[in-house]
Amino acid sequence: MKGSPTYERAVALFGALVERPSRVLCLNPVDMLSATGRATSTGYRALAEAEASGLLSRDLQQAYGPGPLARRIGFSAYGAGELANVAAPILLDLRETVRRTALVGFSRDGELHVGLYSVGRGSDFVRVAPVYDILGQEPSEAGHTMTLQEAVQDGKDAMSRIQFRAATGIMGEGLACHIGVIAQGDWPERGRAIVQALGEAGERLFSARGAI
Amino acid sequence: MSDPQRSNITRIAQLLGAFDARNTPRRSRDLLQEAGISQATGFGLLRALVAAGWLERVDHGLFCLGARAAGLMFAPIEPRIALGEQPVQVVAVRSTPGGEPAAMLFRDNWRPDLATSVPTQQFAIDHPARIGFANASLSNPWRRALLSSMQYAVSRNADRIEMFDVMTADDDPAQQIGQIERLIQAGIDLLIVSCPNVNSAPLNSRLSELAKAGLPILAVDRRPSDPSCLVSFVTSSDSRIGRTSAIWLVERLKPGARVWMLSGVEGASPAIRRQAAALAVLSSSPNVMVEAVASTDWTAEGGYAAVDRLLEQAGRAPDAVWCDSGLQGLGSIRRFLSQGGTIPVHTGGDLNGMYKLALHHKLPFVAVDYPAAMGARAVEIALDILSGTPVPRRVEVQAPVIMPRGMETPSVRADFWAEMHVRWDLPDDAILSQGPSLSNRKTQSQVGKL
Repeated sequence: MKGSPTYERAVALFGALVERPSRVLCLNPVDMLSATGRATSTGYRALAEAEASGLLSRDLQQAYGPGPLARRIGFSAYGAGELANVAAPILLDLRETVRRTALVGFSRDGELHVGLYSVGRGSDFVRVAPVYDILGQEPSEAGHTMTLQEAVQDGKDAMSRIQFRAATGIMGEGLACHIGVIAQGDWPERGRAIVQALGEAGERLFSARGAI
Repeated sequence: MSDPQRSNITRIAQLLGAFDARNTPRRSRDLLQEAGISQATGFGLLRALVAAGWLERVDHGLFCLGARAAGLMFAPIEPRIALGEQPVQVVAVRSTPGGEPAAMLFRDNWRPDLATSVPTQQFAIDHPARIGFANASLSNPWRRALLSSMQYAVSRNADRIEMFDVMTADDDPAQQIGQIERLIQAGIDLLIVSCPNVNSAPLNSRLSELAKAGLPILAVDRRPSDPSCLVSFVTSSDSRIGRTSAIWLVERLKPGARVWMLSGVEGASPAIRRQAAALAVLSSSPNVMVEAVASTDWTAEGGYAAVDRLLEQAGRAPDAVWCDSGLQGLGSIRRFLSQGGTIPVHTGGDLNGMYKLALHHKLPFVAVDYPAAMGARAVEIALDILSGTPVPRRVEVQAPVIMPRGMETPSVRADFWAEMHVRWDLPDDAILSQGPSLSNRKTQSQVGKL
């Protein structure tokens, strides 16, 4: 049954607004609305409502990002809505301790879907993709070490491989939750410290969810 | 009946936000009833959401969140760093010989309350919120920026807030107790408090009584000594501010360096925690000697007067001045400028004037901005509490590390360069960490006259 164009347009505008700031740096309303084709009063009103309802938020540098409601919806879709509130401080502590890009993700059917993440600074900066193919995975002291490659979409060139060291919690039905750090290339130093930090981060995250 | 004032964006947010943490399937009728959406509008939206992948049909009349909704969890915590231009490593960061960098040795103790959710169903209301804010003071630009940030969030949520009443206690706990009574008489649903002094027994006692009587209380920036009366505490990591700036000094200074410490308001909880964390680092380093500690009331005048007094006592300038904020750091630098000669290394950010002055004089410094944007976050948390949404026991708004290019040390790296952070177009008293409300300087100047 065909839907109403009014509602289809509303859903399209919703998608454009809430998905954009995860992929493109948006520092003002114009940046946000340029992708929606609605740089009008309708677009500005929608943007204000999305911010008020918690779908979008702005940080200290005024950059738009997914708001607390958007994060909760995302994590709830994986059956782990409790993690939306608690993952950020745990990730920030992990990133500062290990000084590498840290992320939370869910794996199933050979893919890793990334959730919240905090990138490393300076030479430890690694750009993060929303979905990775898991090329290989082996148990490690803290959980798993995975070799990842960005899932190729729209015919773009394959990205270089990265290593993901993570603490892992099994959620059932083939779904696993991971919190860990990524790096391009080897793990040169601080191996013991990384294992300890991953173990602590996993314990904090998974105890917050309880059932994992 | 559907509220004609709401747009479809808000309706979609309500529909997708209505699923529980486990994504338990829900009936369309229940979803629409809970969101207060008419059937004609609601079924149209549900069909469009299913077609676009935001929702999935799992059975006749049952829906759950779909694959596209799952994609919303992909989010950088720091968008500007993650999505901006890839940072250039200006100075190669050295490894420390014979051990871990100092940052690994002085790790902050993990606070379990950051990952503790507090249920709030008992505080849920079904009418626009009446919120009271008992503010410690408006005595410096940071505190005015905090209020400006709160007012920004209130304006963004105007349809959900009937009243936002602010009373300012001029750093007097007794005055604040009286103001809290007046706010309660005005019929507030929730109290936000920023305490003048962490050790005021009468204030702590009154807040505990109110919490026991069922009033939800949220602290922002400055909490009472007994946090059990709070539903949540919105702050930033004061110990991180103190520790990071002290580690930077230790790694920056030559052996035998002399350090003066300029703290904020005596008895204020952020000042106590920052100073304690910094002292823990400085006192364990054989490289540096803490020669003096002084309070400054977090004002430029206080910083100027403290340095003036210490110069008279010591007879010579130190190698470094640790400031827990640029609020007093600005006065400290001005005092050193007034006498000429080399200006000591400084710490302390927040204030636009501090960045301007330090950059203009090419002064080595590091800043960890204490985010005034926590004001807006406090209003958001207050609204979550009054809608029955679980909230974290403690919320820490991020405090970015900022320094001029080339000033990184083995342990302390920049989140942002000071050259990019400073706002030459704004006045000296602008607080750069106040988030979107910074754009509205007109509002801020009005706030200062309250």
